[in-house]
Amino acid sequence: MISASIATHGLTRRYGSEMALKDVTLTVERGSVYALVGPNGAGKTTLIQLIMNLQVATAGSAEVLGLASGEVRGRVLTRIGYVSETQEMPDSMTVGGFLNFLRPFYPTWDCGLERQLLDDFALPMERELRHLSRGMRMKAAFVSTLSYRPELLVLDEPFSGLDPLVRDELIQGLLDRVGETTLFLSSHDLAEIESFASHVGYLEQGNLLFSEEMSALSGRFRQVECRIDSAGATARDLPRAWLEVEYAGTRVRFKDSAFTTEGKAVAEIRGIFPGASEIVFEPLSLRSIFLANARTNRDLRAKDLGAAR
Amino acid sequence: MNQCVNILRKDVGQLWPQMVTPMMALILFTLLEPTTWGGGPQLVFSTAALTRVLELLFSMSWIVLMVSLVQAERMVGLNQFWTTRPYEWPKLIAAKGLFVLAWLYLPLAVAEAVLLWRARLPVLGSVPALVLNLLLLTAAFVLPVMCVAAVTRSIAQAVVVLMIVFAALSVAWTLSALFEALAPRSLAAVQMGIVAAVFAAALANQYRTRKTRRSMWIMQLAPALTMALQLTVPGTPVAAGGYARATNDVGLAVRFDDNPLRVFGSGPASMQDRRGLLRSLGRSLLGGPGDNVFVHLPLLVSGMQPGTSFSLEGHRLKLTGADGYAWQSPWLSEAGMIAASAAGGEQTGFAEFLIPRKVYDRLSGGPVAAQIDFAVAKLEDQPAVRTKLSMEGESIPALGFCALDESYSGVNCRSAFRDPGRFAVESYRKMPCTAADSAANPAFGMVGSLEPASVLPSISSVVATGLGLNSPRAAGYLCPGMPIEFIEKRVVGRGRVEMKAATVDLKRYVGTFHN
Repeated sequence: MISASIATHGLTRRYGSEMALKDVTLTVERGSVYALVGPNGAGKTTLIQLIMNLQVATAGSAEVLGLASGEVRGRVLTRIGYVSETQEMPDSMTVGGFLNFLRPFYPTWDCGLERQLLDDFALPMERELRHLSRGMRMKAAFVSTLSYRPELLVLDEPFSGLDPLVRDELIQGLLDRVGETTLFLSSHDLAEIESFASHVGYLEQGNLLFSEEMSALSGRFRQVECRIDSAGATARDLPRAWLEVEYAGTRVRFKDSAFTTEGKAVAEIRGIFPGASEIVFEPLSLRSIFLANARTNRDLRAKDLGAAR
Repeated sequence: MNQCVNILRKDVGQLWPQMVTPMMALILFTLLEPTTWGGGPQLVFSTAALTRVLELLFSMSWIVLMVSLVQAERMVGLNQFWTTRPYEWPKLIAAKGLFVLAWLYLPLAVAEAVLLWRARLPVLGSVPALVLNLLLLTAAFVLPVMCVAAVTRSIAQAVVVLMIVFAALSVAWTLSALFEALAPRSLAAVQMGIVAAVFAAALANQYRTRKTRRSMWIMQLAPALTMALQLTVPGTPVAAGGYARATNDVGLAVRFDDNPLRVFGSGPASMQDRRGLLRSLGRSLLGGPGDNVFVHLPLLVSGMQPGTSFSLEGHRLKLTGADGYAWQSPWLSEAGMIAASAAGGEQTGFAEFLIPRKVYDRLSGGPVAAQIDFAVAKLEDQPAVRTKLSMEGESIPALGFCALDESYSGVNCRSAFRDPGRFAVESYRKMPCTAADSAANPAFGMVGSLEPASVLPSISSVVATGLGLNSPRAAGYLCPGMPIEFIEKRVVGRGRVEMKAATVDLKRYVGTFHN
C-alpha cells in the first residue's frame, strides 16, 4: 500500500520564457487534507493541472496514487475526483441527467450517498446546469464527484466566490469524507482551510516556500512584541526568519517564522537587542502567516528590482 | 452500461434539436430529386434549384451537427468536465463514430436506396457503389470536419478553419488540371486516400493525446502531400507506365501530315483538346508566350478497324536538330477521341505542344526530326442493345435506365452514382410522329464518360443525363415505338503509339492553341 497519494519531484512548468512552476517537490500523505495556498498567479492551478495530467511538465515528475501523472486518465480517474471553479460542465443537461450520465462510468458509485448529498445540498434535479447559480453548480460538481467515493479528491479553488452558507455546506460535505479520502485543495479561503487542513503548502511565484503539517506551521510562527533600550535603535542584521519587523518608539514588533521555544526565542532577541524586555509571544492565524509571507516576499522582490535598476 | 453507448445516448439526448434540420432536408431532397430526372422544363428548373439548396442545407447542417457532436467533449483547453472523468478515448471516438453512422450514414444510405428504386435502377446491384460513396463521404467530408472540430474551440472557429482546409485541398486538386503532365489515372483516388489517412491520424492523435498543435501539424500534411504528389508523380515513368511500352499493338498508325493546305486544317479534327479554360490558365501561370512557343503539328491517323475507336490520354514530343541537339517534352495529358470514319481511310488530326523559346530558337533554323508518342486507350464496340423508344423506359445493361422525355425531344438516362461508360446511341427522328417510319431520319448521340470516376461523394445516388440525339438532316421528334440502339464503347486496353519521326520546318507550324 502506497503511503503518499501525491508526490512531486522537481516539478517545473514553463510557458515560453515565463516560469510558472519551479522545481516543486511535495508529498501529500494518504488520508491527509492538504491545502495549497498562495497569492493569485502563484502557480497553484498549474500544479494541480500537472498532477491531473491536464498539462505536461517541462521538467520533473509527479506521482498520483502510485502512478506517473501521465497515466492519470481513463479508468484511473474512477479513483480520483476533481472539482475546479473554472470547470466547464455540459450545460444543456439537467442535474439528474448529468448524474445519470456519469453513474455508469464509476463501478464504486454509491447511490445512497448520492441521494444523501442531493438532499443535503437541496439540488433541483430537473433544472439544467446552465440555469444553476454558481453555488448550485459547485454543489452539483461535488455530488457528481463525492458519490463514487474517490480515494483522492483534488479541488481547485472550490470555495471561491461562494456565499458563506454554501461554503459551509460544501466544507461539511468534505469533512464527512475525511479519512476515507485524501483531500488536496487550493484555496484563498484561509479561515476555512485552517479549520480542517492537516497539511499546508505555500506557493509563491511558482516556488513552494514551505510544505508542512498545519500544527508544525502554527507552532513555528509567532507574533513577537518587546521593549528595547533606546527609541529608534535598529539592529543591522536581523534574522531572515523575522518577518515584517516594525519599530514604534522603544517597541519592536515582528513575526518569527522559526519559533521553537520561548526560551530560545528570548535568547535570540536579547542577542540582537540587549536589554530587551516585556517580550510577548502570540500564536498567528493561517491568514496572518499567509499575509506575512506574501508581504515579505513582495518587499524583497521590490528591493531586488530596485537594486537591479 | 457500455461507456460507448452511454456517451452515444447522451449525445442523442443533447443534439436531437440539431438533428431535425438535416433529417428534414434529406427527406425533402429524397421526395423532390426524382422530379428533376425527366419532368417538364419549368418543373425541372424550379425543383432542380430547390434540390441543390436542400443538398447545401443538408451538408451545412451536418457540418454544424458534427462540430457540436465532437465539441460536446471539447478537445481544446483545460477546463472540460470530461477530461477528468474516466473516459477512454477509443470508446469516446467510437461513440462519435456510432452517432455519425446512425444519424448520417444510415439515413443517407436509405435515401440513396429509395432514389435508386425510384429511378428504377437495381438497388442491390448498386450496394458496392453505395458503400464506396459512403467511404468517399468519410474521406472527403466526415473525417476533415470531425478533425477540424477536434482542434477548435467553437463552431465559428471550426467553420473558419474548415473553409481554410477545403480551400487548401481545392487548390491542391485544381493544380491537377493546371498541370498538363500525364498523371496516373488513379492519382485522384490515391490523393483522397492520403487525405483520409492524414485526417484519421490527426483525429486519433487529438483524441489520444489532446495535443492540438501536433494534430494541426498532422492535418497540414493533407494538402501538402496532395500537392507534393501532384508535382512529383505526374509526367514520370510512373504515369506512362500504365501504357504498354513502345508498341503499336493497339492497331493505330499516326503519321505527320505534310500537306501544306491542311496545316491549320479546317477539316474534321478528330483529336480535340477538351480542357481549354484550365489549360490556358495553366499555361499563363507556367510561362507566357514570351517564354514558350506553341507548335501545331498536323497529323494523319489510320489503322482503325470498324467497331474500334481510341481515347487519347497523353502525348510526348521529341525534336532532334541536324546537329544532333535533342529536346523532349515530358508526358503531357491530353484528351480527345479518335474514331474510324464511315468512309474509312486516313483522318486528319493534330497535336499541339509548348516548346521553350530557347529550344525553339536553336531548332527553328533548319529541318528538325519530330517524333510524337501517344498514350491511348483502345475502345471496342460491344454488341448493340436494341429496344424501342418509350416513356416508360428500359434498363440498358452497364448504362442504367433510359426513357423518352415528355416532349419527345430527347432521351433521359439515369445511372447509379456515376456517369456510365461511353455509349453511342442511334435512333430516328420524324415529324409528326404519325408519319410513316420510312420518313424517319437517323439521329445520333453519345452518352457517358471515359474519365475516371470522381472521387467526390454525392448525396444523390442517381446521375441523370439528357441525351440529345441529333439528326444531320431535318429535325423532328423522337417518337414512341421507334427503334433505338445503344452501343457501349468499352476500354479493352491501353497502349503507346509511336509516330515515325518526320522531318519538319518548325517555323511553318508555329500557331495558336485550339481550345
